[in-house]
Amino acid sequence: MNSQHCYPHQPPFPRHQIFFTSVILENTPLTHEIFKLTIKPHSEIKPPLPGQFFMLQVGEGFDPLLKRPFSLYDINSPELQFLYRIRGRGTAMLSQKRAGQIISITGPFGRPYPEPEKTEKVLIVAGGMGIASLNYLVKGLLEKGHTLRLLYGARTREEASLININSERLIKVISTDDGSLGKKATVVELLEDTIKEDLPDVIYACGPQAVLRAVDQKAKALGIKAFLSVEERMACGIGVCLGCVIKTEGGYRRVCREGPVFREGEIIW
Amino acid sequence: MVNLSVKIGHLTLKAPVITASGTFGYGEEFSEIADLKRLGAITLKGLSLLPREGNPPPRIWETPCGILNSIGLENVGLERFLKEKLPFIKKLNVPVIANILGNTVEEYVELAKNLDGEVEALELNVSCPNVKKGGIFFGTDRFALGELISAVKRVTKKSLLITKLSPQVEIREFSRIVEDAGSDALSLINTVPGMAVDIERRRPVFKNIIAGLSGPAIKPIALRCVWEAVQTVKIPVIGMGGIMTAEDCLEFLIVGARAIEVGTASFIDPLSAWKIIDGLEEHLKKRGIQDINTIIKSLEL
Repeated sequence: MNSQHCYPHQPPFPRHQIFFTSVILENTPLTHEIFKLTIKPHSEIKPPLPGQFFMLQVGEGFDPLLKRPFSLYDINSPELQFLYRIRGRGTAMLSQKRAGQIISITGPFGRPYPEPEKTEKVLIVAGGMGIASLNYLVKGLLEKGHTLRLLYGARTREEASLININSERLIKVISTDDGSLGKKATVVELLEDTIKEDLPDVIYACGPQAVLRAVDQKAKALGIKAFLSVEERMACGIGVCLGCVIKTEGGYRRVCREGPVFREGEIIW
Repeated sequence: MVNLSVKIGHLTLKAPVITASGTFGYGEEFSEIADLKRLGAITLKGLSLLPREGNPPPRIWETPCGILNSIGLENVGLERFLKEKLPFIKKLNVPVIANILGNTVEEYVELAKNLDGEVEALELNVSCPNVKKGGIFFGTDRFALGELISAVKRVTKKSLLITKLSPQVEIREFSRIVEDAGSDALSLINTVPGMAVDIERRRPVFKNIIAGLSGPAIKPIALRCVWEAVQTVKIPVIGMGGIMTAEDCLEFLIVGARAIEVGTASFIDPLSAWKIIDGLEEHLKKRGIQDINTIIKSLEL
């Protein structure tokens, strides 16, 4: 298949520092429940690629025991930025961390979003916090000269500002759950509207399972490529515990190692 | 220079620190990030005769200071292991322990026949709580356990034979069975059978209902089990369960473990095993102790 040539199966990303400590520069709320965390690693780490993630220690000591996976939101070398919504005990604890505190981190892990061909029409579909991983992709692809269309379904006008990139090569279509900005619709509805008018060659998507599933189905039905970044409960991040698997056509696959980015038609929902 | 090397039967380990089965894959992932040669040995992911798909997600659930897992021994099976994994493993330059699991005595024997001499040691997994057949049946049945060990021992001529026990049996009695049946060493503990409930759905978190608890939460249980085992048998005992630091490791060594295995700690910091070795070295140096073996089984009562 031609697409196989466009997107060669990438070997695991080479790792330099896999465990490192960082100082927190900033951990501030952007909305009432979404925070931006900016850290500066104590040692030099290889710049991660869009779609890769890090495991962050959210507390102190052994409770909670496991680090939590977070995609990179932005990078301002050597600073790394993450975006997270307070969803459970772990993220609530993370939100309590203050500037100056030390945080231990592992990563970067996972297969990144592959780069599209220059001639391809790229559509980016972000549902809610999916913007956390797609923001860095958008930035990277713009830098490489691509023209992009972004569909972003946010909860509110406040959240819609989480995509802060402006470029004449970036067409942004934003919807909100409450109608406070753009159409009152989900990103899936935006997707349906868009593909009626203009079919992309490749879709990059990150967000809730319902969004990814809809993108997957559309991509399959229309015969276009899609790269879906999925989320799963994770223990090690490096591929040894087999705890984060999802069911795919080829059997269980590790989200941390074979993912988090999967192709259309791969995942059994 | 302090001496960290220990002997387990005929096997010499550079350090008394081994990576635990199911937390280290087949060594591929870790070989990219650190020097495996410094480790005492590595234990591979549990291997069965035929490939196993493993349990459906969710497979892990965090608990205070611990993790419940229900992986279900997902593995590639013997044939693919020999073809795809072993050639790489043999180049790692570190003693390798293959953890093996079967539904029947014959399956264990078949695995042992194929792996004898190919790896430095075999660890009989008779204590995984996450599979329905085999495995833990042997580890909890007095008669079956002895029969199994004897049968495997008969075909294991070159590799060291280690038997891994569950914490849910009477440790003194089962340690003796392991020794009497001819196992060269004993390792313990496997995960502690546990459970978690989704209160919204009023259903068990795991499809298998029962899962295996690991992490610092189980360390005191593990230490007690190791203590009971070393009181009972003469064969070397390898201790594990919630070891996160060099201090944890020292507790097990003082109680009498000849070596320890690091498992869950590697999930939190992949370099845990290496840091524990560094910590041991530092501990000895600071106290002017030349040889780690003088620490082993030095518990004063």
